[in-house]
Amino acid sequence: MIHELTFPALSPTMSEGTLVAWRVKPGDSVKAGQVLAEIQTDKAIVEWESPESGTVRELLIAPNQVAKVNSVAAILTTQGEDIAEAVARARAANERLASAAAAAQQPPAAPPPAASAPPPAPLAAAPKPAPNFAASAPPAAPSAPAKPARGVRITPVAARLAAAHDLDLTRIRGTGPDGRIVRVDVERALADGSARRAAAPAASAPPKLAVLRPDGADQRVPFTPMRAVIAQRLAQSKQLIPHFAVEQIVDAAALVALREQLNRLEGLRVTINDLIVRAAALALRAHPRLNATCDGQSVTRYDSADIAVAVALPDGLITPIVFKAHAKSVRQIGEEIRQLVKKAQEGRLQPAEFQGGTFTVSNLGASGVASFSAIINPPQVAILAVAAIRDEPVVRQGQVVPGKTLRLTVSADHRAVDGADVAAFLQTLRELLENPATLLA
Amino acid sequence: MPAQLYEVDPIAVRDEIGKERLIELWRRMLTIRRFEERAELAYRAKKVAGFLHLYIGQEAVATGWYDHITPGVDATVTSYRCHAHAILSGVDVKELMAELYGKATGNAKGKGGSMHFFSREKLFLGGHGIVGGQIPVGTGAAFSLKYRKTGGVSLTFLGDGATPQGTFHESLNMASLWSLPAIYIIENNQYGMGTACHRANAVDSLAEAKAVGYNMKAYTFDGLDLFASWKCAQEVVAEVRRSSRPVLVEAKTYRYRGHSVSDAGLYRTKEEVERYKRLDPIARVQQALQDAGWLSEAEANAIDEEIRARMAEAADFAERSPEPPLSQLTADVYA
Amino acid sequence: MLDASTPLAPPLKPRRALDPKSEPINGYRGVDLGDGRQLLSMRMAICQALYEEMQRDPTIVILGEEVAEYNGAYKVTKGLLDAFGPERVIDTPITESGFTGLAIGAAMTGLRPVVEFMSWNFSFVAFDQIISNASKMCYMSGGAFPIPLVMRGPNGAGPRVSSQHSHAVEAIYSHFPGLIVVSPSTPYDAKGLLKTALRQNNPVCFLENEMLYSFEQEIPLAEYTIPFGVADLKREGRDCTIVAVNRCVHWALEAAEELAREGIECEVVDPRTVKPLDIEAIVRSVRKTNRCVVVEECYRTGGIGAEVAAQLMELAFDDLDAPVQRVTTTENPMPYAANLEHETLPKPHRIIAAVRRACYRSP
Repeated sequence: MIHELTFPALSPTMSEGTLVAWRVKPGDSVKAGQVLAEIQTDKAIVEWESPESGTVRELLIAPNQVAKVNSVAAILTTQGEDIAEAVARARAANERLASAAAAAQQPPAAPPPAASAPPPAPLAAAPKPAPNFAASAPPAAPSAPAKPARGVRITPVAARLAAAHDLDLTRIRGTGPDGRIVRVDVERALADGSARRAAAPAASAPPKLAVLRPDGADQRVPFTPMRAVIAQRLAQSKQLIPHFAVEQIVDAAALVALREQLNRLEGLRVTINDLIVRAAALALRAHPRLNATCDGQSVTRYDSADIAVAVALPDGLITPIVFKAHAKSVRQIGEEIRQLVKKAQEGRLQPAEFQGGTFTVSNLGASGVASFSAIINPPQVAILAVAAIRDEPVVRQGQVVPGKTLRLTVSADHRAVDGADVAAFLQTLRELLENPATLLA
Repeated sequence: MPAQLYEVDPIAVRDEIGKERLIELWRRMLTIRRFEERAELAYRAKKVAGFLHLYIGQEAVATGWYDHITPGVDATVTSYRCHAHAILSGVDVKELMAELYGKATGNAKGKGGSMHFFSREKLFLGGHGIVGGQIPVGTGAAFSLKYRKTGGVSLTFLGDGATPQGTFHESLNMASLWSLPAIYIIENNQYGMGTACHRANAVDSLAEAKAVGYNMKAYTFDGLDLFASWKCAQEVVAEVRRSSRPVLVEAKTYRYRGHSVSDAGLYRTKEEVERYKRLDPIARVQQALQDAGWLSEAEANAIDEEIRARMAEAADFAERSPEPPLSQLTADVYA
Repeated sequence: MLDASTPLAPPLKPRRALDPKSEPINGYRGVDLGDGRQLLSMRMAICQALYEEMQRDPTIVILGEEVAEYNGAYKVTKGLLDAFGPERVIDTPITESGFTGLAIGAAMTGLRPVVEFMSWNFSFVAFDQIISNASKMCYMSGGAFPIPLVMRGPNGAGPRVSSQHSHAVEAIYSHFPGLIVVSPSTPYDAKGLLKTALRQNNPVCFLENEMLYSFEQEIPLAEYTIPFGVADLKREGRDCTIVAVNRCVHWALEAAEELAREGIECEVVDPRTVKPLDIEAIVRSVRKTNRCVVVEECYRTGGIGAEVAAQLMELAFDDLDAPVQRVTTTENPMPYAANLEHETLPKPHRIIAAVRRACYRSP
């Protein structure tokens, strides 16, 4: 009879062990109960007694080798049988055991980098202080019968009741702790009709389900993960933040002239955007109220102008950051932006490169737009929208002459800043851009 | 003071037991050992998990005592080292092995494992995992047998490590107060896990020194000697059936394996283990059978082979049995 | 959960009180009022349940300290020794672990023991037997050994008995699968539930209260039982649900009377068994009131209130108009001083404050 003695588990937690030394050698005759080897478990060195009697024919584990529990360690025979086949089978089995254990320890094989890299979170994903609403944003509720508007405190039963009657929660006065709307508040609103929605039809009409043409000419495209994040964050921003926009027109003739001059220099390439980012950084230093973040309870103002620059991607956008832009030259800023854009397009941006800006510049100038306003990149309090430089008549010294104009629009969070703050910032920015030599200082 | 060992004349006891019965007792001891060896092998192959406390070396104790009772009429209960007691109660080894494997066909449907074997039919009240926890349970069985006037007695097996527990004192006090037909058998295998008995007990002689505190009779016997175990059991069981007075018994025995399978045994010397192995209770009975001309070595080997085959079959049964269905997860939490 | 066979509970207040000069105030016989009802106290109702079931079932035995010759430390077992003899009503030594374990062994071998803890505080001495043996035996034996065992005795704070004698153990024992936890507040409930406990095969923690032993009620003379897991509405109301067990039911009712004068109508739900818990009845009530206050003598951490509040989150979240409030024993050992003891317990003044909080009223 051939006995295949398997490497034993000598403690409940043992999955492998080291065979310290054999106490038998091939050819020895052993009795059941006789010590075969010393084995180092995870707890101690323990003697391993043979469960069977016979002649030792083959030892398959070398001294000091780490072996998996249930590997075949030794082969005994009682009648001197041929063991060639048993040895081959045992070696194969041992290899399988070892590789299975190795595979179990490895993380799953990494998919190709392009597919595995999580999409960079567009817009500053983990901004300076965690924004209040983002932190409290609940994970998608499995089934929320009535989800009150953000910022409204309401008890579950009151929310359910209000939803059933389609009441506008912002028009119900909560009498509970901290203004919490409780059941009686909703009942009161129902009784006096004070919280009916003003323009109900659009809201109450069920959304029309898109009917797609069967020939495939119409397409429904599910959100990519990046699109979903953009959708969520910008919707939050627009819903929560009281936006207001202020526009300024800049005479850009000097700016264009300077850029042309600079680009004639050997090895230098400067864009209008580089100059604007530099100008914005200097203006922010002069108007720190806009170089800030807001969490709904407080505003944090920063010394450093860390300017996020919106970069368009095939289906989305991302905002890598020029840190300490106020302390960098136009040339440095330009080089950094080109590096960041390249990385963004290749999907190689690291979170540290797009998280934590204090202000954002979004430039659609290359698309020739006349003007636009942007959605604030929370928790920042302001974003600068830069349109195209256009040939337009301008009034200079009382004369209408051909000129170059640039429209700048700042969207700002009215919780944190007021119109005058933005106006003052834009005034400084305009002065810097109309006297662009200061940007080279 | 060391206890007075219960004295037996081995030849006289051998002849009193007789050939067939002695072969049967030897066969039972060997069955226990081969079961435990199989269990250990399965444990080392990771088929069996958790704690595994083996009875190897102690076989003469339970084997001697169970031979004088009728499981089902008499009740027995023990600690977590319970495989032998379940086998001697008459539970099928397949069912026990399947329990070790955690299978639906197991003795406790895969819910109990190594420490919790039971048999309602044989009044085997279980293997118990808390040291000393079973002593009041065995006492309650004695109470019930007496109340119901069944004529049964209760055997409570416990380790030397259980005697310092409060339940030991509480139970023996009540058993004596109420004259319950209870027999407490301390299987003193010298170590409570890794603590030598003398480091845990203030007295040398567990039965003799303690029984006086409960106005009980005490016996101490050589637990490595089946003849001593059998003869002492014969006397005590008959006496308790007659008198309904509890008795405290100490078996001086030894376990060859660790406290559990993961015990590296660093608290005792190899020489000590070897010395006791020379007193192997099974080998001694086999020798006695041979000396009497009742069992040749060839016959013994044949029986051993048959037992080994039965154990292999039990392991195979356990292996092939299904796991308990998940639907049974909360079954039997309540009756 | 309520089925047709469950009789309606009688009124809490009897028409008259027992006259200690001419009528029994303990023992198993109530005073026959001649209209199918009997007047008795809580201790008599428990004694009567034991007496009737012992007459019916010869495997029932009572074990405990002072249960026989002394007639019970609180006279709950008065008369049973005379009725059934010393083989069935057994004085034990002071040996809780021992006699509880003995009762478990007896329950495994054909008897149906009743263990009296002179107080549930002493059950901690027997904790290992209750938890490791009684609660798990049926499961770990694959169903072979159910444990038909009733453990009973007074639970909760006694009168000025300080730290070691004032535990309420509902929450502790409810934590363990395998145990049933009964905590009745009236003689009617106690009798019906104890009879049920003596006719089923699981270990039951039957939690009485020393301060309620003399509480009197008119209950039917005819036999009845009350199933486990069926709550009883002790008071109806629309504004706030109060879930209370045992002695706290009476404090809750007292608080409810006071609150009614302020226009707050409380509904008092008495689960009667903490395990199994009739959460459906509680949810039903909360659907009506949208508010819930849980009152118990256990501690706050991991108490009955914690469990009820969590289950209400799971089952009735959208019905809540206020956070669930808990009124529990404060988290300190019971002090001896009268004023401190008063503040430690979940008395009516604390219940009133909690209900006002739940109803957004000023305290």
